[in-house]
Amino acid sequence: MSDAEKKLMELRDAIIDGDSEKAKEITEELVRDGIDPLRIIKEVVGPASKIVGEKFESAEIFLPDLIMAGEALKAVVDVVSSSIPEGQSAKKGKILIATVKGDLHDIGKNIVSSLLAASGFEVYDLGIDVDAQEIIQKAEEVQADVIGLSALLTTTLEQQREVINLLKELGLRDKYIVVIGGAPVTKEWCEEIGADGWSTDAIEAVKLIEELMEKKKKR
Amino acid sequence: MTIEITELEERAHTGPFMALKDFQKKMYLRARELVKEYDINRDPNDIVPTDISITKDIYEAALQLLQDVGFICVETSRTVQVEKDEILRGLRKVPTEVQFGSNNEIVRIKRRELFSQSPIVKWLGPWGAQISSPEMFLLIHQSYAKENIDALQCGVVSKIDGKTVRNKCVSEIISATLGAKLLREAVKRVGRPDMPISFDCVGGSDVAFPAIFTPDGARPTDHVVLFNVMSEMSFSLMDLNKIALAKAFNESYPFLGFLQNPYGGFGGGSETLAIISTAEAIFTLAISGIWGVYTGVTTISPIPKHEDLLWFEICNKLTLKKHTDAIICGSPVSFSEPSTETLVHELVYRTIPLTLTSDALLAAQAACGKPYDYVTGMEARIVSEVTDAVLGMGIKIEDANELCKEILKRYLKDKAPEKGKRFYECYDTEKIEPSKEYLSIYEKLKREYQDIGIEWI
Repeated sequence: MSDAEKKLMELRDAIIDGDSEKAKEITEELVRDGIDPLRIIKEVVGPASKIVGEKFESAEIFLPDLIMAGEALKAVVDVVSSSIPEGQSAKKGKILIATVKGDLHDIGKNIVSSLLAASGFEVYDLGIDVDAQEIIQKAEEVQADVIGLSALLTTTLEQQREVINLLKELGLRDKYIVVIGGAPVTKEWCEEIGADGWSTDAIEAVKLIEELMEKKKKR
Repeated sequence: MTIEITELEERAHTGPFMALKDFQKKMYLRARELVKEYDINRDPNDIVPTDISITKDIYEAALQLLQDVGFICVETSRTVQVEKDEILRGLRKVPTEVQFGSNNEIVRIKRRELFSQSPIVKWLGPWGAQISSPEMFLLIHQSYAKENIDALQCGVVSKIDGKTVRNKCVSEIISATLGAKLLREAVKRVGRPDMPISFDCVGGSDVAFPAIFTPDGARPTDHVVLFNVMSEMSFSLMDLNKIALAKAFNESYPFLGFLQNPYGGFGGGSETLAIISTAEAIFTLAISGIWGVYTGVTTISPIPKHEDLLWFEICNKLTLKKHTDAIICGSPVSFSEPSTETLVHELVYRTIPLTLTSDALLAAQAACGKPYDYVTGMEARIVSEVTDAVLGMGIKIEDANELCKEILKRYLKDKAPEKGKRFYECYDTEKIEPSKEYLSIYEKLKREYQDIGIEWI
């Protein structure tokens, strides 16, 4: 195994362990050593995020570990992005995610947001209790590809519809992929409010967003 | 001095600021360190912990976590710090008995000895379940009130005239008024008008909450509010508002702490969650006016790890019963939907050890209360009968461990929640009786359970 390969392995382990500082340090070294940034993405970021996802799914690691791995991954992507030639991107897409107005539950959203970050998406997490207007304003500002709306209460579920209705009113509906999530969300609800996809499971949510992004790129 | 709610409000506005995510990370990392420091390890042979010496370490670790990390207010993002002495003083003042109901429906929830075979209070209902209309709400609660229960828990009217009830809006206020009235109507219709009711879910937000106190709604002898630890050592000012309002309406014992930690969330896995959930309970019980704690259980995984969920929940109850004088409530709930075999297995599996480690059972909820109408009184029947069987047979904690292991192996290991039926699909809504299909599923499984040693009464 060459020195570069050893370092790439070390980097992968640092991401899985959620060690942001170490991950950043190794990435900087690799870039300084002339390793192609896209090789780092292909050989480290992709496999590491897959392993982290699998460990989370099998309950070997938990949400905080996932968040720390996501932070380490972001540190790597940030270093790599500054070295990638214009026109190429290290990130899979931009996701804006929020728990809708009136709902203070953030755990489900945080899981999805962390998994997305760990999978190489650029995630803008607006937090909890966010109204429709603010969500759309921010999506426009960051030029998001996907809007993710989380709700745990049926009394706040209606706010997911309000975001979609406001997007329609503003003529912006087709610009964004809108996905919804939360314990009470169902296929019927997704169809009723005209969202592009739904999930009550974080791992599935990431797969869904990846699929919808692929479809969007082909359009 | 114990911690009053006014003091909690003060600290929630003046404590050190910390971003919620940073707080959650700090809490988890410290809990993980404490697992190592106190050498807290789950015996892989146990689903129900049988060696209660572990509770001493969990209790000490929880006290330490509380001092090191504190609590966080979700609205202000300020941490509430507490001294060990404040906590211990608060714990010494918790009531060991409370009373609800009136006339011939007096219900006393008393502290039972650990593993006691004495009767346990069955305060059962579709806790927090989302119900599609006021009409359905009445029928579902009647179906619970008809069963062998001591007091009624409640769900939520989530739609009125087909329109969704919105949080902190007019519709939620109407839903709360209507819900409270219908709960009283439900107990009247089954001939038990004085039965105590928990109105803790009908007025969800602090805006809608006062609406439950109409003349036909909550009585001072009912229960009206939970202090809701939202997730992982956080709380909301909204709950403090509700408690102050409940006191203003002369409620006797408004203040029950409710803790629900998702397995695999910021609290991590079994061992860290055992510490975190105990720290939450200790903090909650130390607040002046709390009469008990009610631990729920949930998971972020689509396939619940039943063995881990049960272990940490029972650990939590054993620790609190062993090291405090508080009233501890358990929550038999299922992830599966009504009229399914998996639902029956989940309820039996959870009710057995909860009966031995709790002072009251609250809720008998299916499908985690998801919308709409996935709850029926039959779940209360199952919980009630299993409880009677456990007490009738004199089951010991070691037996409970063996039974749960067998149920897990035979029926629940790696099993996803089962799709079932809504109330009106598995109940005769005229007679308010379970369908033949639902009854036959239950009867068949009762026979199977006799083979593994559970004798129904």
